[in-house]
Amino acid sequence: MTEKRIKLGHLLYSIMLSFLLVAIGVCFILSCLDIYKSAENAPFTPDAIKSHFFVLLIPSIVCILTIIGGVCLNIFIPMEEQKLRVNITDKDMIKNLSKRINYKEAPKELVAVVKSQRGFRCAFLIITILNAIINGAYMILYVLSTCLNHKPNPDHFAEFFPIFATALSYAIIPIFVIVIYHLFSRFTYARELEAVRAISEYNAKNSNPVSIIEKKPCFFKKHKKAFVNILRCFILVLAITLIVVSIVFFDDFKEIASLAGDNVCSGCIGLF
Amino acid sequence: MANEQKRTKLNLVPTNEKGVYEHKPKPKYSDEDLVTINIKEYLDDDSLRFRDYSDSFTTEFKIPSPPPRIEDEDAQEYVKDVSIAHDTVVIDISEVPKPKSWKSRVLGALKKLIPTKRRLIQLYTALLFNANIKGYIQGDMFSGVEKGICSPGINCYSCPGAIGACPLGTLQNSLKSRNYFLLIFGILFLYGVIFGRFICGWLCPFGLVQDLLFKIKTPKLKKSPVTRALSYFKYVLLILAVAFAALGIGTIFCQYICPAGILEAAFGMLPAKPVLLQTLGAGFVWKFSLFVSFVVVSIFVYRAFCRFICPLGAIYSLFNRFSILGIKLEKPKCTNCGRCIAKCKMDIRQVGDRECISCGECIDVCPTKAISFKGPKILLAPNEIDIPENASEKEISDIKTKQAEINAKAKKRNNIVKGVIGGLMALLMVGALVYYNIIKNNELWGRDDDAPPSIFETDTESDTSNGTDNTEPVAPKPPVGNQIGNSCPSAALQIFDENGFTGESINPTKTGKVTVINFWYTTCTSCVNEMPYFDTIASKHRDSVVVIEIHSDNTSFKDAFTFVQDNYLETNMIFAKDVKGANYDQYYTALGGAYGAYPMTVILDENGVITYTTPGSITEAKLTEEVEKALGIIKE
Repeated sequence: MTEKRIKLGHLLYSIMLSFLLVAIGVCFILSCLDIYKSAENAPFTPDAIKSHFFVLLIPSIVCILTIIGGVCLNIFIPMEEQKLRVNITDKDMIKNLSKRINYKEAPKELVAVVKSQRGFRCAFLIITILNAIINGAYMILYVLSTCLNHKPNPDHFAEFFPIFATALSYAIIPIFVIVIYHLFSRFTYARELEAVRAISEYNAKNSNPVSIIEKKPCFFKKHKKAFVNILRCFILVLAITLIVVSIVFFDDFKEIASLAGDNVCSGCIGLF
Repeated sequence: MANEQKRTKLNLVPTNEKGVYEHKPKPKYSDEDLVTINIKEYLDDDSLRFRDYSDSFTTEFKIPSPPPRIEDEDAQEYVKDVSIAHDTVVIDISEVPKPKSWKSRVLGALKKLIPTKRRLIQLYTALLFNANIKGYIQGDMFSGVEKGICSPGINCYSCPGAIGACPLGTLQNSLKSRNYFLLIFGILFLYGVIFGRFICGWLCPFGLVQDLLFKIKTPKLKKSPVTRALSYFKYVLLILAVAFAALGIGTIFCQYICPAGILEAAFGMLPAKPVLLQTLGAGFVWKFSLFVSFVVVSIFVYRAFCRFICPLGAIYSLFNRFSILGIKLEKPKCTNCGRCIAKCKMDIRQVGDRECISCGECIDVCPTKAISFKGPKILLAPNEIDIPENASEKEISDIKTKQAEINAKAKKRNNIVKGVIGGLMALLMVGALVYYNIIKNNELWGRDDDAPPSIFETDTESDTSNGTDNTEPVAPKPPVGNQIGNSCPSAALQIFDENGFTGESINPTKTGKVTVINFWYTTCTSCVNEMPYFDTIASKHRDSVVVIEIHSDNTSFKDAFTFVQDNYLETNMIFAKDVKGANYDQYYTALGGAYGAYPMTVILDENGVITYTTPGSITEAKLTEEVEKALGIIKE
């Protein structure tokens, strides 16, 4: 069997399994919903569960067998191992090339392109950070203002979901902006790399190569290890102090044991 | 060593001023002369990028870094040596590896099925944190003093097997009740500074589940800038979970998001305790749907929950750069080849950053061995003896023999250390399994020593009326029990209000009215959320119905007075306190409550006979209906 055919076989198998898994997942969710809708009070009876989920038993077994089949396929008709595809990004290339570029002896147009791309990126980054800070602050303020005078409300979904959904919408916007920033920065890096390459070639033709200027490490970088050790020790001491104080003076250990040991977390199971 | 005989030297000479090196004439792959390498471009002053004509690999090496090295795994297989002579790069080549035989490929595939060290540790910790196996059979949670210790990963404390608390659930509950948060912060700081996200990669049971799901052979969604941006989402959830809990609203993450609760607690408890099924409602449907979605997504996306959702991972990620255990990168050795980033399935930008779960997969692919595990080394590498430049052959052979002896000794020592560690781990596991499943009998600390006296009263009045008075025949009173139609157990419970205990007590069976008993505790969100229904009933039927809110004596009673002051200063409900018993609260247990599944509602008629009982939450409509049935307003 040729490698191409083996690859095709594996691909077809994985696509088929994907469809099967998604379909079964959807069926399980729909069955659960169906049980819930079947009766107003205590819909989840053993009989209802059996009748609804029994239908899914055969597809589930088929799915499990397909997965086992996949394991056998991998053993007896293995696909050639995929080579690790290293993606050296434009950013890395710029970083490496920039070390030996002499911008002073480069054509002004090319330097302007580099500067403009960096400027665009920097501006977008500032916008992204500001957007995240403003939205984050607004989200926290919204939650605080909505929930500060909270009174017990029996209707969980009616109470929580609008607050939660609104709060999340403030988070989704900055995440969307971060995605756009990432895509935009790729574009700018690509354009910058073109210019940097051109400058590099120009330098090679018209001037002497520039040796790497080794920067003096800043105070923090120089003593990074010591700082890290101090920070570790500080947090370690703080943690042990907090634990000892809370056990000795407040008997918190028993409280947690009581919370986690005595009562079922009804929310965790979904008993609501 | 057969390869060495076929080795040829390939001289690369510069072809132009840009530093492009090429081997001429351009050969094709053959058994004799197998590779040609074209140096594509300088990366910096002393580093080159080169590729072969077939374009199957791109790699870098340094000039003149002693010893010169090839940094591509594929190239390493047949490039034996690289050296520089003036402007000529000499690459010493052996044969190209032949395509592997079917036998070796099958063996390789079988080899992959053998669990790795990390997988074994994940399985070990999952079993250790859930060592109360008998809990799965009985459907009971483990309740012991050890539950005060949080397990490092996501492991729901309502899981019947769990022997520790979930740090995230405990954090939210602590913030909500404003109790014991010093302890939980201390524990999180301790875990963070020692392990960081090493916990996610090696110790978290839910991480193991996701790792196994990802092994299913389907097309996978690779990491990208989008997934990297989405990895910030877990911080948003952390902020929201903390804010909601700190404002006293609820443990939103546990209630609405955490799939571990369904996997470990619901699936662990429901099969053994089908009585809990009747309490499942919309909340379960939501959480079950979310759980199934997580399972499906985890098959296609590597550790989707850890990367985008888990607030515990978000907490540990803050400590990741300076945690004692984890992964470290020695920057001077690093050549920025990018193989580690390419190999990693998490959204890392650099080895050991906030997203790194210290799985260690990048260690093997690093060509310069710049990546290693942080922390104290238990297994030591043997010392290496330097061979002097002018050493004679005899001296060299002596040194080699000595080196071999040192290596053998070091190997022996390391094997002993491995054996001791393995033995201790096995002992710990066996000890835990024996202790939790055989020795320990679900006793809460101190309960046997100072078990409180029984609160139950003997109903003498009913005893006499049942047998002695023959003139007016009275229907015999039903037997005492916790089922519908049984007489409710009679007990005097202490009443409290916003100022503390009033000094009075109440017996729910002797109110002379329809009595609604609701078992609750302040940190139970479901209990607190349904309490307004009872308040409404108490106000609406204030002359004919008594509503008694019985608080648990086990959990968070100290907040009960404040809770009443804050929320029910003016109410017709009566607040009373249960009394601890040998297992759970005495009255709660007597009325059929078990496993600490609060809330629970029981309705009694005027004679103290149970007309309705349900564990778990109740809807307003159902409560009203049952109360009206007991009052005779509506007939069954």
